[in-house]
Amino acid sequence: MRRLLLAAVFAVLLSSTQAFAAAKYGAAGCGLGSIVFDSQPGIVQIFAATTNGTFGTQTFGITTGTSNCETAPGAAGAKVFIEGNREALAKDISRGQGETLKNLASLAGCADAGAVGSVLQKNFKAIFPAATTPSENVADSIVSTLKRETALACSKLG
Amino acid sequence: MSTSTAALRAIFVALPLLVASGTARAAPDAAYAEAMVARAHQLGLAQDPHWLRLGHWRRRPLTGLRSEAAGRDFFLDPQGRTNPSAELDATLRAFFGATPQPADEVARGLMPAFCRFPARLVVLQKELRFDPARLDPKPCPRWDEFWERVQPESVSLIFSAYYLNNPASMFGHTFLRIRKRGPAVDREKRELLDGAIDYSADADTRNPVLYAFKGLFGFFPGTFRLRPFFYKVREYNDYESRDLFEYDLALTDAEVVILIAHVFELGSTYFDYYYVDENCSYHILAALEAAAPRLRLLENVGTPVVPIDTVKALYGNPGLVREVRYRPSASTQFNARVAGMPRDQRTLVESLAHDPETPLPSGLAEQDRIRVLDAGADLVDVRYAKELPFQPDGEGSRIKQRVLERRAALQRPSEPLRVDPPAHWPHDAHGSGRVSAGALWSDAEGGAATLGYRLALHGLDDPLGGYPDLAQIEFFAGELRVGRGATVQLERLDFIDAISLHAMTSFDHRLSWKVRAGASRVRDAGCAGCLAAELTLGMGAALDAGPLLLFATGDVSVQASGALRGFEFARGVRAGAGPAAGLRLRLGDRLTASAGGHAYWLPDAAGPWTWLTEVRLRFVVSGDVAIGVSARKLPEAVEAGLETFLFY
Repeated sequence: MRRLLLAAVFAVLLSSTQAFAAAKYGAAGCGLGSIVFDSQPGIVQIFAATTNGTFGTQTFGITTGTSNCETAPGAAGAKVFIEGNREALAKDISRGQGETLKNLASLAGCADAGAVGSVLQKNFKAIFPAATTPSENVADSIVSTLKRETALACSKLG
Repeated sequence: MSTSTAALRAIFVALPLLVASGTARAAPDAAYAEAMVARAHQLGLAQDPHWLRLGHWRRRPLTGLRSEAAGRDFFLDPQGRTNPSAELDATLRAFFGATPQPADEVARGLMPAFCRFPARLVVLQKELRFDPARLDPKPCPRWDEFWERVQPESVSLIFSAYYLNNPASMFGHTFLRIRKRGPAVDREKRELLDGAIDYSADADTRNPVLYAFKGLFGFFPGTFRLRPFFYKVREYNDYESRDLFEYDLALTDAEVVILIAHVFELGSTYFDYYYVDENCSYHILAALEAAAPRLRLLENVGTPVVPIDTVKALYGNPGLVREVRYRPSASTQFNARVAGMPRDQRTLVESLAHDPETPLPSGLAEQDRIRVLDAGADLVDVRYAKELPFQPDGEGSRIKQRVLERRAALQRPSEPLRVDPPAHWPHDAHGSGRVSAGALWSDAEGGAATLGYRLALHGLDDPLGGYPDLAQIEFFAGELRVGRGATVQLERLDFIDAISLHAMTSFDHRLSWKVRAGASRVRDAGCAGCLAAELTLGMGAALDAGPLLLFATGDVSVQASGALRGFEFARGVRAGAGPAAGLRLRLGDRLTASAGGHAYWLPDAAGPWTWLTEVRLRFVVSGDVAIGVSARKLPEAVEAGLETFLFY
């Protein structure tokens, strides 16, 4: 009985919060949108995000052996990391320091996260020419910048 | 412990290799398998709590002894779900190669039992002390890959704070973070690369009614997932602006290995997801218990399973929590950035978030430019959190891009941001359930005893700490009155009574809202004490001035009762609209005073006004006990009461 009542209350609440969920989803690759949320609009999106559902097909199959969007050290892992952290990373790069930069530096095997920060900060406009630049391009630019700057000694990018 | 520790260590070191190699081995050994089955029976292993926890077998009134794991691939014996003993025998026979893998499993590409159940393997070896060389090893590439991905060193339980804009996350959420092995010195440089293990429902409907129904009655399958931790940070800290509280667990190396192996096992199955009890927090604790049978967790948690209670349950095991850490949300970080900022700079921050070309005065020192631009970028992130990851051509993305360009052009690193840890932690919070008892005097009905109950979770007057201070989330709260001659009357029953207040600041202009659905006694011209169903919604604003909180809303309310003098066209129903307001004054950690009221105009109904004013005073006696006095006045009643509250 209690569950029935709760169900009724939830249905009302969910319908009333429908307005909160208007965003368009559907980023491909390993971006935040592809993993954490699905490309389904609507309230379930929001409801789902925590109780904790995802419609995601790109989830990490524990026993299926799929390992897409995994961040092993190396260029491929660095790109996954960059795509998944794009918003936070853009901010950290503009500041020349921050948590995502430190993690990126260790993923890429760079000697000094501070130096990585200042090199990427200097190249901000080249890496993020516009807000609409696809994340794959951002990832490519960052990886090639890190490789090009040999002084950074990013040893795991191959 | 010492001898078994050595044996354990041996197999733990060996396990990944053993499982990986699949090379040197003896022929399938049916006789040895039977000997181990006999030893297991002799030891009564099938009734051992560790075995029962590994299989998630639990005795329930309706189903008897049955595993909560619902996927059939989790069982090797056809009766395995209800028969732990048969499952144990089948597991041993499969491990030693005495029974071949069924053809249909092979056809479906299912891993052999040896690879599918690494935790069972470790635990059974520990209990039976069998010779690992007699096993029937197989190559297990998926396990190897999983192990390689996780590289576990330690485990923490993370509590993600309340998120009121989503009914499903009002209660918070818990998941596990698996710290990767590595040198301790530069650990913080790799935190985001750790793994996160989450239990969640796989929803298959977008219909909210169906969703709520299925979520509450166990129609969604729930599964465990492994993801890089950074996805969780981005989702909770950034996208939803929820603080994360991390409880580092003192598990032994062996327990960590079994936990990871067990989560791998659970990858082959699913559970029925029940939002109220068998939810994310429940199964996270169940997995921990399966890995470390010494832990007593679920027995310290009642129904419903509220995430905060599962955090408190950790503390029922002395020494289990060895460290707590805090990861501030995007909005907490922003508030830390602007705290203490001079007014003119705050104005610049606000302008930047509207117009990223806002010129910065030439007199502004470079350090201050950096601070203003950094805060501006944070404000855009908080305000456009829902849009940024998904609408690169939207307004928020455009503003952010320009602010970041200007910031990067300064070519100097920012100072790392320091955020003070919170004064109150989730595990300090009062219990999520509440009962109360008291005495009441009413001018209409004389004296009465009162009994109150609240299923969950927190009210605006409740003790400070561990809960969102500006929110009320009350589920299933009611009050009974026992009057003269032992007459028992339901005074009030709310299915939900939620208030989400957003304190207005120069940066945050979000509206506050409230919702209440339930039933309460009407004491005005509409009827004399009839019980009316009620739905009330309100929107408004709040001001937070240190210890004083003020809020006001515009409400609409619908009430229905057979005895109610309402509309001409629909007797028994009335609708009201009007203002409501409240204030709360925190006088230290123990004393809280509050007052509030509303006045609703009831078109076309008797009255045609109804109103309420009330004052309350609450004192925390100690821990989870509080006392309160209150008085309220309605059109046809004046009441005063004294109550004792017990949180549990």
